[in-house]
Amino acid sequence: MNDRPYKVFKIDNGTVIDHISSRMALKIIDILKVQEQGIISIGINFNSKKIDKKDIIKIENVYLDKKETDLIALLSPNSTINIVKDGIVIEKRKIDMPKEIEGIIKCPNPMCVTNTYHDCSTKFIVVRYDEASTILRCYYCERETPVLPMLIQ
Amino acid sequence: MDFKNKSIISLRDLTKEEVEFILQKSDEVKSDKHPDALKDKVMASLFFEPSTRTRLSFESAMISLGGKVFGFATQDSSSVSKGETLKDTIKMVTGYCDVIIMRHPLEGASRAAQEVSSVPIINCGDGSNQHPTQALLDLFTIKDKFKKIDGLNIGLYGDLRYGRTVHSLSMALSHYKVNLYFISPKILQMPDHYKLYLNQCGLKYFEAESLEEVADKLDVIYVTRIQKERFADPEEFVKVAGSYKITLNTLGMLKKSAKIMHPLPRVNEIDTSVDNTEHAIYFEQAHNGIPVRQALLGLVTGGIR
Ligand SMILES: [Zn+2]
Repeated sequence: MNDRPYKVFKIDNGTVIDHISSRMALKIIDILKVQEQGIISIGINFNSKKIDKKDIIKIENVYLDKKETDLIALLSPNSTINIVKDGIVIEKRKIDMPKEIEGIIKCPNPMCVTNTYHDCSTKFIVVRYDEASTILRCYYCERETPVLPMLIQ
Repeated sequence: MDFKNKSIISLRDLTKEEVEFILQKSDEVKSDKHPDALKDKVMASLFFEPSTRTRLSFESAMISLGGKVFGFATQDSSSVSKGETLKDTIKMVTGYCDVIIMRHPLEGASRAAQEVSSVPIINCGDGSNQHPTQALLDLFTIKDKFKKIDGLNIGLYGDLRYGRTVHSLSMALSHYKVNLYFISPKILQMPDHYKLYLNQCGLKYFEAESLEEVADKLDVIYVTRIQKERFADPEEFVKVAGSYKITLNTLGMLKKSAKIMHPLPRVNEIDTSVDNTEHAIYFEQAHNGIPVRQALLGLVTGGIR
């Protein structure tokens, strides 16, 4: 990310999420629950060499840990993470698909116990995934579902 | 193998060794080897949705081995209808009993209950998800009749899309080297994710739309009812349901040794004239619910080891 003049502010401290599948940036901010945490710059539909169009997110002064950034795999498995401190990238991180997802996703099965009782939060097991989709199984009702943006709580 | 305090929620949780152990203990119970296994144990029977057959089978299983029973048979008679959460009900009841059996209209309810329960829970049906004791008694019946499960050709017949029992049973059978035959109308075929699961377990299955195609191969035909609600067009239902029936004529296509099973209650998908033939084992299957449930109750409460 050197030869193209990005219109997303450079940050000196924080987390940069790059190569996000196009249009997923806002959903990713939702699943990371960072809306309230300081300044977030978002770029949508940038041209990219690696993928056709991409989104980019820069979160100032927030250092997301691996467990958090792995959640991005649900929506955009090929994203990359850079942790920046004092203007220097101190960690380049890949994201790995988590084994289980607690909270975050809503079960699409209307008869699922998690959709009726307020004290039953959701939990999903990642069953399989490829470039195109990620399939989860609800720990409770055992239904399988692809991850769809509409299911993010 | 220690089952004490283990909940029985889903077939998915049981290894082959555990399934085999349960079948072995059921066999011992059936031949009266554990007469006082449930003496002084207390079972809470929580039916948030009514199911007379399953409830009576469990309650009679408990009482005849010396246990005690309390509970409710429908949701209205408990405080649930006043807005108490499922987890609060369970937390309260665990103080009074050694084991909870529950049926609930919501899928995943038993799993959620297990998380807050200090006593083991046996799932007696959570919506259209799982009914593990039915699958285990089906398996027990097959093994009891054929003295083996490996190598059998097992046909699942009727509504394979919505039928919970055939889903649980095929999961239970995934531990064995059987050939499965899915015989159903196109719109009621076995859902893809079950087929995928069976594929991953290395199980072979074949799909057919009529019994004639595969009848002479089958050792077991597991019949399920096709329900009217599943069809948008009532004429289509009449046509389809009419062709998915077991009658005396059907029996001619079967092997002499083939057995017909059904989770009961049956409506007219098996003609009553079939009941008195050598092929019919569905009443025996229902009766096997007692030793299998006794074995499970004994195992999870520690009365059987
Ligand atoms: Zn669910």
